[in-house]
Amino acid sequence: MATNTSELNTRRVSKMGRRQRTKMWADIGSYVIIFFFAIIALFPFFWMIRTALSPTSESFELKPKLLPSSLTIDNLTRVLTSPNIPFLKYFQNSIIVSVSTTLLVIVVGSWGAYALARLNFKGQRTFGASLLLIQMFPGILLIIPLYVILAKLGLINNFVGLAIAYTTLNLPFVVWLLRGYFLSIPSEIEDAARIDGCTYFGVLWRVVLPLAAPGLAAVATLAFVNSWNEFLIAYVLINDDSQKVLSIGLASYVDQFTTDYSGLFAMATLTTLPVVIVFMVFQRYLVGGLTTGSVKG
Amino acid sequence: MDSEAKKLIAAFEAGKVSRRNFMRKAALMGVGFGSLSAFLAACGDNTATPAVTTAAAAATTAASATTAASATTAASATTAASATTASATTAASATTAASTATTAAAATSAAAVKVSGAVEFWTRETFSNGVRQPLINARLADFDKANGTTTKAQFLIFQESVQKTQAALAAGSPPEVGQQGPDVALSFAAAKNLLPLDDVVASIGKDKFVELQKEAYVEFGGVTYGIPWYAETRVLMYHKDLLERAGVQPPTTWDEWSAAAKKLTTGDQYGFIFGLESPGAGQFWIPLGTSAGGSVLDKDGKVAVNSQPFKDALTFAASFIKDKSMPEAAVTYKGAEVIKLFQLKKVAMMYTNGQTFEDIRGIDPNIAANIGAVNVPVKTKGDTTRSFLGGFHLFAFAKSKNPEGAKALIKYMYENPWYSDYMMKTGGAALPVLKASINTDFYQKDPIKKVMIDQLKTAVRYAGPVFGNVPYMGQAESQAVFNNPVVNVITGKATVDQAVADCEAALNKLKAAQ
Repeated sequence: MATNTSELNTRRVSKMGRRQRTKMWADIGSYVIIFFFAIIALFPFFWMIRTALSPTSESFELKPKLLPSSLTIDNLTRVLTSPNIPFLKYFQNSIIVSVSTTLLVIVVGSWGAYALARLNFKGQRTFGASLLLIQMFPGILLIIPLYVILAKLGLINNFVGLAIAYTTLNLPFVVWLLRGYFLSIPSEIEDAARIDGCTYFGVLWRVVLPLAAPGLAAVATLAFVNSWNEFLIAYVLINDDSQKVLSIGLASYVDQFTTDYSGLFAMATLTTLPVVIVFMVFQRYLVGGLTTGSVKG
Repeated sequence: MDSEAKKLIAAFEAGKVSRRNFMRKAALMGVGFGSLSAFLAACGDNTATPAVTTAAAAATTAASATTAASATTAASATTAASATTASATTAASATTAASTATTAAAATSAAAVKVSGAVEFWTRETFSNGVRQPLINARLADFDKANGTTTKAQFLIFQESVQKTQAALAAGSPPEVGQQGPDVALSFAAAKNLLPLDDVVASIGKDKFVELQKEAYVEFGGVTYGIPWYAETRVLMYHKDLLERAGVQPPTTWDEWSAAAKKLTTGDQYGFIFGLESPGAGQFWIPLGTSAGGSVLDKDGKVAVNSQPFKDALTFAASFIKDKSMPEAAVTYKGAEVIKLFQLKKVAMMYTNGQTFEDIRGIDPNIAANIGAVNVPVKTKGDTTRSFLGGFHLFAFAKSKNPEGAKALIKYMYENPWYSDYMMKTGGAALPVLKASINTDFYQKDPIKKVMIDQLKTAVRYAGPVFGNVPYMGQAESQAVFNNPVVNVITGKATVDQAVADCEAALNKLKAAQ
């Protein structure tokens, strides 16, 4: 009997061992695959930083080396001090536009999403579906209509105009995402608040928005990054050098016949840094926020 | 406008048009105050001559007022003014002199008006050699000092400049002055977005411009809407030491070119390269075909690209890859990468322009000193050498809030010595179009620039030298209609016959949609 028990134990241990080994190999396999794709995803960033820190003579070679022969901050200094493409001014402008857009998107998007999620009004479904449909149109189609509208409002060459344009581009996605998030919040909590005398706005402000903080963080991050990276609309709407944003400055390093690769990559590195920081700070909300909203219809 | 004006004057003289209608039609033709006076002068109107004289006097006054800022302005204005008076007097007795009077009076008008208000200039000038944008800003500041205007330059990024301008046009708020290539300018003119500039050309002096091929001028319905500001053209540049080492002479015919490229291909060095990224390949193929006797548009404006010269040129262009004297991967190269290969001496010869040379000189003057250039070789000795004609035009937008300011600024950008000095400071990347500027030692005694200046005389765009440019050529370029045949033949997607036939079909489609 004792032998049987010990055999059983031995079998159980070996079975567990097999399972553990299988799990271990599965984990290793997963990590190898993740590592492989991470390398592919991160390589452009590595190359950007590598070129930014390489001497100009090594920015374009027939047989490029993975690591430069020496490191230099000349390119970064050149970009930071360029009188023609004033990086710090453009950086400041980008911050103003992106933060304004993010705030506008959160305010307007949360109101729109809440209305879609909780209120019953005529054309609610059609409006909701139209938000999805609007996202199918390429942004380039919007340029001329946007320019015409903003020109008539006197908002060309103006941060307000640019922030409004970016808000309109971000809203469909943000409203749809937040609507899903709001639907995931039990309506009983809101009903209780209504019974206690809260208005719809009070419910949204005091109950729903605090509960939807991860969703808001997610959409805020996306709106910020989208505004930060956008080029075409900024280029078309802004005329004055003093109002230009970073994406326009970046494009200035690419000319018809030549490209200043060192300057381009140095500015790209400096431009990407804030986006990376924003992502690092909000990434845990971003993943949670996106997935929560995505499963609610 | 001259022929229309002559017809109108003839009709007025024959009594077919009333004075009131004559005045109205003249105004509708866009004839300015000075020009209208000359019209009337040509028709024997007594009130006209004093008006011209007044304009002339005003010209002198205005010009004198500006003397402090620009002595050249004053000189040209005074000349134009005296020319006006003389011409206008003659014109009173002879209809044939009407156009001269119109021109001269227009010259007076453009020179005399002291403008004010805001003037915005959307320019394509780059910062590539570090001086161009600051020089433009300084010039605009001088213009403001001379006139009391507030002028602003907007430096457009080349990729999206047309889109930005189109958006501004759609919103009805374009700038005053624009700078684009002739195809874009012509498409704007055809859409009635530009102001007629015959008076500005006259005020600068039509005879002051170097003679370029028909396509260089932005004319639509006989009216000038864009004025060439500077040009660029491609030549065959080569590394002298590489050719010497291989015992190869710079080629003058296609056969020599092909043989030289093969001989210069050794190890990891290739004999020749041209840019295949759109529109580069089309800008190589079409001039070659034109040089071989073709013309994309025949004398009646009919598309005639499906012809033997273009087939021969396409076969020849593709042969460099077939012979392996050009990198097979060249179809994937961006324009800047092709230039880098030449700079790194991985390619011995290249079809390129003065901007490339200047960029190389900026990076390494020793490499630049070793570069030679010849005109683009021809198929058969005796053929006309042809290259692609690039460059920029200045134009004024029809919906500009300050048309007089726009015209005055355009004229100001051609005034010497500033114009010559500016073009020289581009180092030859921008070739001037004024005779006084081009006939200087800077261009005539420099071996590379001299070749480019010679090449410029016969350089063509797409339509060819016979019919002149048409608005749909810009669309054809942006849709890679001329680039695709070369790429498709090189990559084996089409035979030469198919590729040329496809090109002709695409052009006819664009023409029909016009």
